[in-house]
Amino acid sequence: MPKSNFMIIMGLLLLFAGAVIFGLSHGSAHIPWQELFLEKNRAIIYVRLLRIILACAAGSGLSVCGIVLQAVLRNALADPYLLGTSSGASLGAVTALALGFNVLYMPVAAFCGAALAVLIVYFVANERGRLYAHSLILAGVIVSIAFSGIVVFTVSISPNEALYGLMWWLWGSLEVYNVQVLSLVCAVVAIATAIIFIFYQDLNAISLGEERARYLGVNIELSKKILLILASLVTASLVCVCGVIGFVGLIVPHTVRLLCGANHRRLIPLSCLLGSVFMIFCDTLGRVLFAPVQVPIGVTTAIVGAPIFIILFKKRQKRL
Amino acid sequence: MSLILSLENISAGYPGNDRVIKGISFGVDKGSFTGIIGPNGCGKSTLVRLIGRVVKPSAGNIKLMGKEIVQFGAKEFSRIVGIVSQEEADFPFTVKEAVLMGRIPHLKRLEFEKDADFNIADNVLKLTDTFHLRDKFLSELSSGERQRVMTAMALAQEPQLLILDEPTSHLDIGHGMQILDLLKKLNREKGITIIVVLHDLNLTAEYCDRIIFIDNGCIFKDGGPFDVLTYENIEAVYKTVVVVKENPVTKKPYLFPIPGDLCKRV
Repeated sequence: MPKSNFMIIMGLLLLFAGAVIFGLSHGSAHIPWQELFLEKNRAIIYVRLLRIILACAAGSGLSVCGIVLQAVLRNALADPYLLGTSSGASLGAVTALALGFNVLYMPVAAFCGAALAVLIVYFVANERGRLYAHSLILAGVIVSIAFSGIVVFTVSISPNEALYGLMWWLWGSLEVYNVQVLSLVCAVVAIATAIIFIFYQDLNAISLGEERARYLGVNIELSKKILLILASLVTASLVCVCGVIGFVGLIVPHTVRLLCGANHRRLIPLSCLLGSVFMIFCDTLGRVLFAPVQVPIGVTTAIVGAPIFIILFKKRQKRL
Repeated sequence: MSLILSLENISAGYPGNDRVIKGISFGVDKGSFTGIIGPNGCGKSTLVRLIGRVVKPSAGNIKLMGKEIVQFGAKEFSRIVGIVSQEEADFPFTVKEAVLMGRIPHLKRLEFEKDADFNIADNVLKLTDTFHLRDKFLSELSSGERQRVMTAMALAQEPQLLILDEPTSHLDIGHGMQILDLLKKLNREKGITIIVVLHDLNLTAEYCDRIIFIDNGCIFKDGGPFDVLTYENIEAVYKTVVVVKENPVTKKPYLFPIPGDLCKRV
C-alpha cells in the first residue's frame, strides 16, 4: 500500500533543500552555510548555482525520459539512452573533433548525432505506421552498437588529443560551459516534462498493456509517437551539455514507484524532485571526494545509485 | 429487438497469415448474452480485437448501433464498449487506481477524477466483490481476483456492450462461475449486452442464450445451446467424441467427454 503522499512530498522537499545547501557550500573551497550570501563568495556561488540548475535539469529530464520509455516499451529496465541517443551524440562529438571543429560546436554536433541515431532507430522499427516495443528495443541496440563501433574506429585513427575530449561524453559532467546553451536545455526539459505530464492518463493506461489502453479510449499510436519524440529530444539535449549520465533514468523512477506506486500523476513530479536531489548530491560528492580532481558524474551516480537500488529491490522481494 | 453490434462479411488477418477471419457476418441483439466458442487458433480472439478496433478488417463493415465503428472517436467508443483482454499488467498500480482508469473515457485530458467517478469506482468494486482489495497492488492478487478487478475496470467505463476474452481461462470452477454469475447479473439487472469468449463448453451452455461456434475463421454454427452443442457438431470441429445430456437442474445441455481409447473399442 502506498505510504502517505504528504509525508513523501515533504521529505523530498526537505531533501531537496538540504541538497541545494550541500551543493552550494561544498566543493574545492568550503563555504560555511552561514556565509552563503556574503558578497565575497558571490562568484563561487554563481558557478555552483549554475551546476545545481544543470543538475536539476539533467536529473528531472533523465528521470522523466526513463519513465516514458519504461511505460511505452513496457520494459522496467528501459533506460533513456536505449534509443541510441548516447552513441549518436558521442559519434557527433567525435566526428566534430576529428574534423577539427572548435570545441564550442560540440553540443551542436552531439545533438545532430543523437537526432540521426533516433531517426534511424524509428525508421528501422517502424512497421506500417506502428511502433512495436520489441522492434524499438532491437533497433536501438543495433544502432547503438553500430555507432559505438564507428566512434571507436574514429578515435583509433585520430590523434590522441581527441580522446581526452571524448572522456566526459562517456562519463558525463555537469560543468557549465555556456549559460545560453544551459537556458535553452532547461527550457526544453521544462516544456517537454510539462507536455509529458499532460499525457499521464495515457502513460497509466499504456503501462497496463497496449491493447487495454486502446480499449480505454487512448489513441496509443499517436500518444506513443509524441511521447517518444519528446523523450528523445530531452535526452539528446541533455547529452549535448552533460554527456552520458547512466543509472539516473533507471533508478529514480524505480525508487519512486517502490515508494508510492506507478500512477504517473504522482510518479512524474516526484521523480523530477528525487532526480534533482540525486544529481545535486552525486555531483557535489564527485567534486568533494578527491578535490581538486573531479570524479565524473556518471561514476558517482553508478557507485551511489547501485547499492541504494539493490537495497530497495531486495526489500520489495521480501514483501512480495 | 434492435441490434447493438453487427458484422457484415468481415475478413481479417495478420502479416504472414492474412486469412484468420474469412467473411464472418452476424448481429448481436441489445441486452443479449452471447458466447463465442471454437478450437484454439480459430479466430475468436481476433474477432474480439476486430470489434475493439485493434485489428482492422481487410474487408467488410462492423457497425455499432448502426454506425460504422471507425467513425467513433477513441473515447466515445470506449464509453459504449468495454473489453476485458488477457494482457499481463505488471506495473505497481493499486486496485483502486486500476479501476479508476476505467473512467478515462469519461475524463478530459488532465481532468482529475471527481466524487462521481470515485463513487462509480466504489460501486463496481462492490459489484465485483473486490472492494476489500482496493488498496492492494495488482501483483498481490490471485488470478481470480485480478480477473474480477479487470472486469471492474471495464465496468467503470459504464459500457452498454461488454466483451470478455476468455475470462475464466485461468480460474477454478468456483471463481469461473463467480465471474459468469456476475455477468449474468449485469445482463439481467443493468441490461448490459454481453459477448464472452469461452473455452469451457459446459459453462457456455449454462450461461449463454446464444452460441456462435467458430471454426477455421468461419461461423460453423450459430444458435441456442441445444442447436449448437450437439455431439455431431463437437465431433466435426474438435474431433472429439462427446455425449450430450440435459443438466437435470437447469435443463441446459451438458457434455460428457469420451476418452479416445474407449471410442476405438466401441
